[in-house]
Amino acid sequence: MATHAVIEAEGLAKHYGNVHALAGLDFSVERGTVLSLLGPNGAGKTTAVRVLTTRTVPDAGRARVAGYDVAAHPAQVRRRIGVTAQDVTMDGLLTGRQNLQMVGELSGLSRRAAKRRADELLEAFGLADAGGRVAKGYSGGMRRRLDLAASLVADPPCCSLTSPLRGSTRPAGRRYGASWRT
Amino acid sequence: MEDLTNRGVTVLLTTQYLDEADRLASRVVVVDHGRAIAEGTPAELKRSVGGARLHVTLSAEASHETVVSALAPYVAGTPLVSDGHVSAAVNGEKGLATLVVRALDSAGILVDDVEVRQPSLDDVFFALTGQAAAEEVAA
Amino acid sequence: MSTVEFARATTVQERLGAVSSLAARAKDVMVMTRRNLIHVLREPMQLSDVTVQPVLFTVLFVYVFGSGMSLPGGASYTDFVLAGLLTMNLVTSSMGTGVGLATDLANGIVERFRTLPMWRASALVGRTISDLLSAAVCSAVVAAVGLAVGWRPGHNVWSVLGGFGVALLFSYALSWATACFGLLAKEPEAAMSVGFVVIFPLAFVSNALVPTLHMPSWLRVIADWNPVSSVTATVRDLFGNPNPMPPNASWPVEHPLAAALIWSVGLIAVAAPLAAFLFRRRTTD
Repeated sequence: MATHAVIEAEGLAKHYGNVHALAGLDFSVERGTVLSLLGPNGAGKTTAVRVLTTRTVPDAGRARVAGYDVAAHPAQVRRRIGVTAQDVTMDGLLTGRQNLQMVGELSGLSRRAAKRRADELLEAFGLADAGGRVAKGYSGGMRRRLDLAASLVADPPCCSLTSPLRGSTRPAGRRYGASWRT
Repeated sequence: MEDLTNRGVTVLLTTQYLDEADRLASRVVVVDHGRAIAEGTPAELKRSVGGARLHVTLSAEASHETVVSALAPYVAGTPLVSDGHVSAAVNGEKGLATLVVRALDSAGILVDDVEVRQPSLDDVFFALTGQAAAEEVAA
Repeated sequence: MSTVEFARATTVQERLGAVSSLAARAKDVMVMTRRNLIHVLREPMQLSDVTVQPVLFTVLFVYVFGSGMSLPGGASYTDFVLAGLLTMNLVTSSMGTGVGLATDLANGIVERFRTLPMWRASALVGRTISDLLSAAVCSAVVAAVGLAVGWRPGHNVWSVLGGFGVALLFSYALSWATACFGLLAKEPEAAMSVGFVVIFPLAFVSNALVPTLHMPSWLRVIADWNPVSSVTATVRDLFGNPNPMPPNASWPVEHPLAAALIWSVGLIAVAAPLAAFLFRRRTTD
């Protein structure tokens, strides 16, 4: 049977010191479907996502996203993914709109296109009124919606989402990080 | 989410919350200790841990044998009885609750509550990982 | 299409690809620079670094030190100290580069950048450029306050602008050095304390605020070889302000411009690749 898998993981392994975060993980996701990686804390989900979003190179095994090997062609993969994850944040000192615009421009949109896309997404995620406020002051729910919007800015064919419906376990404030200095 | 998949977007959803996976995902891969320990649709996974379960709360303590023999025709295996609570695997036939109440009534046992519950992803999780769902831990 | 034609088409395409990737990198750097400038405007502490601090330093040193300082030949302390205040302000504000990078790494925004198809180093380059722009604002504030309290450059405007240019080049070089501290530090706080330990002695053990003439000889050797002294002396010369020279001076004192340029270019040549390496290491696993 011909496969239409857009995300494929084969025998992914990754260890940090003595801890085997991934010990031969296999799965694949068909085009246009939602696959959930479900597991307790520390099961290896986060590491799997880090591999598939090109932030970690696996010790063994291989992964392909949208037809590109994540280790060999990370830049091609990044052009085709949108990511929300607990360790991936927005800029707390930029407004919601500026955040989305920045992500858009860094994803290759022109300044004008990024602006338009930011406005569209703020509207779609019910953040139109909050778009001009700095993200640091957003409630947990608003941050999650902004995260989701950010992952869709470049209209990617693949999305990796982490707990989009639930309150994240991210400690309030810290990770959105008030940037400071003297 | 549906809007995304309708446009052909492929989504990898990572979560420790069962209800999220249940509501949003078309397929679920259960991960533990760095490998996939089960895979399927939410319905398939639920089926894999067995069928529905019967839960009965009795009004008063009743003798173990009386309860077991009264329920024997309707349950699979031996029911667990403790503290006036009975739990047993059932195959989910039609009118099961009625049949169970009748059987217990004719054995002279009063019933406060009867429930036939389809397994949840919670049960799947517990059966596979030996851990309660992360929900209580994280809450 | 013949093979030859095909090959030619590929090289043209490759060349276009290279140009467009260079343009894409420039755009990423611009986006990152803009982001950091928004930070400066939003964070009162960062903004005061380039506004309040230079005003305060200039006024304090001119009036407090100036009241008790007599320079050889009776030169004006205000004219003497302004170049020193300029370099001192730029040197201390260069710490911002390291602290800013450490903060970015600590709060997960760099993880976001890592999922985007952007030029990775633009986070680094954009930071140094936005800090250079802040430094330029800081210089303008020092000059404006200086003029208000009686500083008068003795040379023409081009020479004075050249002085600012040399000071800004050095502060840009120092930004790359503090970037390395920031990338080595686990926490932004640590980046700052390392900065203090290195940057403050660097700023003070120099000719910036007092002539090195009367320093104990061991201290004078350090001060004379300190790049801050070379930069300050160069700026004084270009401003046409008094620059008292100790007798039998060492090479950098005799050749401040050459020393300032060697220090600045050398620092960039070492620190920029090192920072790029450290950044790659911090964002790879």
